[in-house]
Amino acid sequence: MATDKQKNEGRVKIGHYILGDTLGVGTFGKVKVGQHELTKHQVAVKILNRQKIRSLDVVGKIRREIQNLKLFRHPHIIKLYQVISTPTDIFMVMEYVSGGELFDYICKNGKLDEKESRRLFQQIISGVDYCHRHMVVHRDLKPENVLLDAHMNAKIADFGLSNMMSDGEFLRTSCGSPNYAAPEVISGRLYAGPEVDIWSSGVILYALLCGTLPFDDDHVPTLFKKICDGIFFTPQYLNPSVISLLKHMLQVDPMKRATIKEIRDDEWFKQDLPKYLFPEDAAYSSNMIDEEALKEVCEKFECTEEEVLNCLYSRNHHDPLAVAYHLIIDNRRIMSEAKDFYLASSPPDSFLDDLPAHHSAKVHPERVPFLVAESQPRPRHTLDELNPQKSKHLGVRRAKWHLGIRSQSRPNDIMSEVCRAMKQLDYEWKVVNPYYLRVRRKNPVTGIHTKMSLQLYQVDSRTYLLDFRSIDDDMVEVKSGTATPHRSGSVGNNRTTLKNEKNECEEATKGEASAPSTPPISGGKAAESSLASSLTSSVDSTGGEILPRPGSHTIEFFEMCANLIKLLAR
Amino acid sequence: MECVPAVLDELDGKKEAHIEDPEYNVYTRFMKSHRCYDLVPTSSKLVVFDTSLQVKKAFFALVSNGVRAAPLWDSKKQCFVGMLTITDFINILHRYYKSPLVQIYELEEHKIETWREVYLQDSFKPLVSISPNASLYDAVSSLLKHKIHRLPVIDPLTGNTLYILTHKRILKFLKLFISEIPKPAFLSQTLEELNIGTFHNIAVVHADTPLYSALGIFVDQRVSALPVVDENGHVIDIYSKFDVINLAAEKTYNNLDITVTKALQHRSQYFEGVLTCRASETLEAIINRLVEAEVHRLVIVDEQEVVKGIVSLSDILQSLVLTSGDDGSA
Repeated sequence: MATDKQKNEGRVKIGHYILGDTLGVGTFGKVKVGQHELTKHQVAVKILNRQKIRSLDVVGKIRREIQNLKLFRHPHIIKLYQVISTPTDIFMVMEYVSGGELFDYICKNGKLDEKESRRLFQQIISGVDYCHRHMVVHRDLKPENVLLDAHMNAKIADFGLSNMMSDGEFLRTSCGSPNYAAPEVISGRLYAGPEVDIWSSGVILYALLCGTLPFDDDHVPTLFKKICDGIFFTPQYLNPSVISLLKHMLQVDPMKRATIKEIRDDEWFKQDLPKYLFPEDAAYSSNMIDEEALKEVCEKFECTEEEVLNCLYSRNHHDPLAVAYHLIIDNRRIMSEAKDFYLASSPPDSFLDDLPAHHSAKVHPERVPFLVAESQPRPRHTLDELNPQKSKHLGVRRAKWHLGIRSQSRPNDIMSEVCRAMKQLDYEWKVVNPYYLRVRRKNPVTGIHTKMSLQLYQVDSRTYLLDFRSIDDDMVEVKSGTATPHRSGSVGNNRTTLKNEKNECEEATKGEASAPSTPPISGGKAAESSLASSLTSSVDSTGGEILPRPGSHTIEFFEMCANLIKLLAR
Repeated sequence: MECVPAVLDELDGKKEAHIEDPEYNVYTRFMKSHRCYDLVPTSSKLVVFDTSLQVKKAFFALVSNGVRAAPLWDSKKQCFVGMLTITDFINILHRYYKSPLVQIYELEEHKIETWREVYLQDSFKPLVSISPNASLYDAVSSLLKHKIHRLPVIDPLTGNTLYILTHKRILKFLKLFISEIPKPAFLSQTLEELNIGTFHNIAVVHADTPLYSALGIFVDQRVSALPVVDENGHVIDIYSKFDVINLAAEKTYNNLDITVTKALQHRSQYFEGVLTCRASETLEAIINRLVEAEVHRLVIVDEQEVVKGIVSLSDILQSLVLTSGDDGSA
């Protein structure tokens, strides 16, 4: 696609790289060698067809996942330099190594000696451990994905790729070569956690030591049975201590399978283990926030420090921001400990680095001016316990936002007051427990039930907070009531929350009750038809498949809250 | 967005045409292969007004929330009925202003719904919105066809407004990919050659033009900015619709007899000068400047800085997406 003006020379250019021969065809598409037009630096370019990718990948989550893959930096993992996106394909510009696939090496040279096998195996486990610690599971580990550099070092390719594919797609493609797949993967369970990589590593270790596969059969159903039975042949020449490690890693029951920690504690594994492979990790235990790493995350992801800190404090280790933070700290540490491994030149800027700036440092020429301050400041409640996002923005009059009611009445009195108000408003409710109610209201116009839940929390010894939560009705309701799907949770989860102050609350949403001069609306029929047409006009040419929901889930929820708050505030 | 994968195939199917020439209609195809959802930020602020809110409060709320437009919710009809933008503010000021000595009663007292009744005069106009699953091509078409600048993206599953799409956002998105997709020859052609922009009947004001007259031009000619020129036609400043919101921020809307120069004093600290261009510059250079400066238009001037025309984001999108390849690549 990105041909520039090179067509007449018959060469295709991706970014600054001129594409050359095809190196291989993998699960995800072709891999071609690329050479930088100026520096002649060689790279491998993986071409992914967009149809195989879960989404168009520019939306936040996927973008951040790819951004994170770019941060992965480990001596035994193929480095991802750049991602170039076109309407049809995604090009991943990666580190190029000259030694080819471990798979080909074994096919050509047969089994490796025990020492050499262990050396490579240690490198692979180190790479797998690194990725697992950064919340990425490979899911498709096999000797074809382990490459060799010029010095016979292992380099794992395609980490994180399988996560971008839909589960169905992944299973369909991976079943083309099921020899390495863990039993729980081939038996169709969609969840594939870190254990599946342990199994695959065990298969690779076996292949290194024996030159054959532990589970192999031309007849696929028989092969599946062999894998699920977990019984494999152990040649005489194998060291008994490595057999026990193999058996531990190739446990059919994922719960009984060896963990990375157990592998690292294994006597056979520990022999001749280079120190750099498992550096002491202080990143997670440290409670100190690394300001530089924090800044780097904010720059790379164009987010605020508050966002990152919220992830870190809430121990939300899977959030891309938290992952990025730990990766940056890790990178710095490894850089100082194993410098020699990072000879690959630094990547050129990619489009991912300059996605739309939501938090641009530059002042926008058309920024909305600040409102001239009110003469008399309004009394304002604070809710510091629940609102950790303290504003650092100078000059901005930042209101504190939350959705709820604070009260110093007794909890039972609060709840009975609430129920009285709800009765007056014709809301229906179910008492899950005395301080947790599920409430619904039939929208008189659309006929749809709007649902929310009310939960009373204790803020301090005397103060209680009644929290409002919207209940998402698009999702299938869980009847047991254990896991209610919630949307737009109150504090912090959603920025479109109501203001604290009662008067501002009315201002922001509605003032229906106090609207004596409201002009009459033009008849019920007209209103209905206008509703219908205003909504059908929003249906576009591509999206004819869904009938639009009348009304608006979020606004109806807000109205429900506002009416209740108004009544209670009287 | 549970519904997202469902339309992927459809979008992919559409771009098979003209595969033989990678440059043909490349931006149109790009826009057809991306959805509005792709432009919706992970997190952004959206302010919704109930139509029973007073107009004055609504404009203050726009300012205090730092947003330029808000979808309007009619709680009796239980649906979104329109948008409140700076254009409404301008229309209200222009229609009801009498003198600096008389408070604008309508601005003080009217509710949004009252204003809409007066303004729309029973000519029922449904809210123009778009589904997140619609292509960017549809979004561009809608923006241009309806001559609007704010297009709310409404999720058909929940009825919620997710985002307000603008020309700026779309062009910025395209710009991210522009180096990665084939570059059509017309990008290297000049505005003049491509005949992009407005070159005739350019509405301008002078340094001493009363603000009220400037507002009148906005209302009558539906332009979004007025170059301020001196007696020789040299551009010295620009007064845009956006600048009008400052009257709300500073609560100085009661005197519209002041000159535009006076009205523009508020932004002296961070104003970087009028962004201009020459008709002899390439379309590519213009796009880069517009995106980088995050403005809606450039004033086209000659060597003497005399105003010759205006090129806006609408013009650019019109030429890139709706007509490129047909008359553009000539």
